[in-house]
Amino acid sequence: MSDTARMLDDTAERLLARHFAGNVRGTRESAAAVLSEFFDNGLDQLLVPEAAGGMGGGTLDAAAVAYRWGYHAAPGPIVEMLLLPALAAEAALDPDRTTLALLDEACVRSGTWQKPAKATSVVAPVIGEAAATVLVCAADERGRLALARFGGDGMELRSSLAGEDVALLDLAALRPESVQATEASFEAFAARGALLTACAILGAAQRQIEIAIEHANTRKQFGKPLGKFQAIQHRLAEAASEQAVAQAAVRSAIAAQDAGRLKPLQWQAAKVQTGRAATTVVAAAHQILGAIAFTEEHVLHHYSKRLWTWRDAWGREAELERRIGAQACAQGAGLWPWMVD
Amino acid sequence: MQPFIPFPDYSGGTPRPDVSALRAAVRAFLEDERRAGTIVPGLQSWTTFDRGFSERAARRGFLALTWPRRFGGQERTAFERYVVCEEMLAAGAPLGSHWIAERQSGPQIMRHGTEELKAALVHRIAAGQLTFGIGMSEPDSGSDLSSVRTKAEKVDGGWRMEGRKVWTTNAHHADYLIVLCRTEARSEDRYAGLSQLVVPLDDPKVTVRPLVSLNGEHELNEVIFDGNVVPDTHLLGQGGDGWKLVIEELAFERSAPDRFMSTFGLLRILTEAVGASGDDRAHAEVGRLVARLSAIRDLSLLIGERLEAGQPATGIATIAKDLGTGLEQEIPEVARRVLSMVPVRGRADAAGALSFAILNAPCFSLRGGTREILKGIVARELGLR
Ligand SMILES: Cc1cc2nc3c(=O)[nH]c(=O)nc-3n(C[C@H](O)[C@H](O)[C@H](O)COP(=O)(O)OP(=O)(O)OC[C@H]3O[C@@H](n4cnc5c(N)ncnc54)[C@H](O)[C@@H]3O)c2cc1C
Repeated sequence: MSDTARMLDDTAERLLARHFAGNVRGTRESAAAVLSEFFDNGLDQLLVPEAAGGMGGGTLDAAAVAYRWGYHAAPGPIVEMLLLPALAAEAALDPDRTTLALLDEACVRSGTWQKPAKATSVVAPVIGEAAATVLVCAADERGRLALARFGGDGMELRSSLAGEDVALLDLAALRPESVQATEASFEAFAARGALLTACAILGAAQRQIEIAIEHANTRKQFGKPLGKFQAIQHRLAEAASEQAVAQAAVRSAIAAQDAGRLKPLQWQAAKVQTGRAATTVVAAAHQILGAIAFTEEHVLHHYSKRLWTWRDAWGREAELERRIGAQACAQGAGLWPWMVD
Repeated sequence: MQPFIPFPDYSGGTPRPDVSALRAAVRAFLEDERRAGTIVPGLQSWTTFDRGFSERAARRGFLALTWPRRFGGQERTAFERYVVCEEMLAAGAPLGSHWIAERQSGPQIMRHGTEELKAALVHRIAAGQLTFGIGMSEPDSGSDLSSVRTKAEKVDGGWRMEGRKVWTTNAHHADYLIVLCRTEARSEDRYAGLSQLVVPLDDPKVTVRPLVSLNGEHELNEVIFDGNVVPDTHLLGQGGDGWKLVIEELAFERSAPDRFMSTFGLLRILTEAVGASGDDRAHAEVGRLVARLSAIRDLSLLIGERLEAGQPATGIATIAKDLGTGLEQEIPEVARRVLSMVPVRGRADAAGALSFAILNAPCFSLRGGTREILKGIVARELGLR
């Protein structure tokens, strides 16, 4: 299992390093080229079960690719790119021109769609060209993953903070064309999406910390490198600390998911911590880089925008914190055993 | 920059023994202690001194878990010791009598002590019978620890001491202090010529005076050495290598769950008070703390794994302490916002626990290395400076 993950990491690293050595970031051509490399290298088959002809990989395997994607600020919604093919196989859909969105509510009952009680819209990142179909991934009354299929009409095309296409679905106005039940656990699916997003965040944050350290050690003001100033040192120490604690949480949650013993607290805490890390790291990096990184000429913004996008994808901190808190507060005197047993 | 943690981690991690029986045993013991009234959640801390508690814990096999059998240990894994420690901390047990001795002094003596010293002391630490103090800080040497001036002069058969230590936790209960002192005159190399001595406190030439903390408790002390002679066998290491020894000792002090669970008792009281019917805002505030605690615990467990595998952990141990003490300080502040109450002292209710936490909070980011010093260490590990 872990050898496969290492190999996938190498594949993704080689593919992306080669691509960005010869291409400009942020163009549609570059995005299209990276996407076809993704397919050419078979990475789309990573999470597709072996029975369906895929690689049957686990969360760690996919995490390796998501992390590399983040580390290079590579184009494309990597989490959806990894998750969609398995669902498309399940729903017998053409994976081209389809994408997905998470809707964290039980809005399928007895196989029929119920208008969600809370969410009024969902955002589905577009994979490749304009999406014709969006699979909204929601829970049914038994906690299983249900796929509600929305057609292209009535979607609004917008763009993410990173400038990539997203489809905005107005859930108050639209109804799905069809709903498909699956046997998969909704919780496990949402957890996997959150953990892969967390890995993409950690990759991008890692690279931002590296860029900021390189800059601090070379840029001189007042006759010495910025990194000699204690205020700058502490700012970077804080960024690296948030990164480390988030890595520790994600690492143990991934191991737990692949071992089949993941608790909601673990993946929710992991996503919350990476969201916090993203916020801290981006702010520190921009402060340390100064004006140059507020321009499109510097590479930093590609990372910043993805970090700002991903922290709100697959579980926003505020919502996950509320859920963790509600659970914790329902434990009476048993908070500790609930956390560790 | 290499990340402090290999990520993603393809190693598969270290397999952990099943600890459910061990947890159950510690919880049963702690439940007995609670019934007997030795544990008052929210109104005492892990530094609270209670020799009887420590001896009973030792008899049940909860001390010196990882130590060699010949020293009264059980040769169990570091993870099992971690589990026992975190269970005790979560319960708010009074660990002050054995904590420092079992966490750092005993291991330091086993690694660097003379055979005589090991034979005389280590067993008794394992049995919960001895209390140790940390003799590092002085009036003019806080963060800049290598500037200590307490000195020990070579005399026939031992070392004659002069000087003063401050902020010595539980010195008034301690049997011994491991003292960092100058054994050679200060030279160009400020780290050279320091040594660690295991100093008995029952010597009339050693005086211990209280320094009452702002919370009204007597835990800190001033310790004055005025010509007491410490036997040769009480020197740790080779003599002159005290700085290296101190750094090693501090690594033990920085990575454990006591660095993020000091206010766990209040967090538990807070979650109970909010309850399942609390509003979304209260739940979100509490959830933020619980998520943080869970993540810092993951980091702390990883430090243990790395140390056991002989891998470097300075960076993450320092980070765990800095973030952990930050969380300890945030818990009472969140409790203030979420619970509609005014902190008043005197009882083991929510208002009492809140008061206790507020009055202790400043020390979390001072003791064992201040927040600023820790960030400096992290920055150095990042390749800055
Ligand atoms: C409850 C408690 C228990 C303790 N128990 C013990 C014990 O048992 N044994 C023992 O030996 N000591 C003990 N200490 C002492 C503790 O280790 C010291 O308080 C600590 O090392 C800081 O030293 P100081 O208090 O002299 O502060 P200082 O070193 O004077 O620092 C004061 C402030 O200046 C900052 N500062 C200092 N240097 C720098 C720098 N280079 N850059 C930026 N900022 C800096 C510090 O971070 C701090 O904020 C205890 C302290 C407390 C509060």
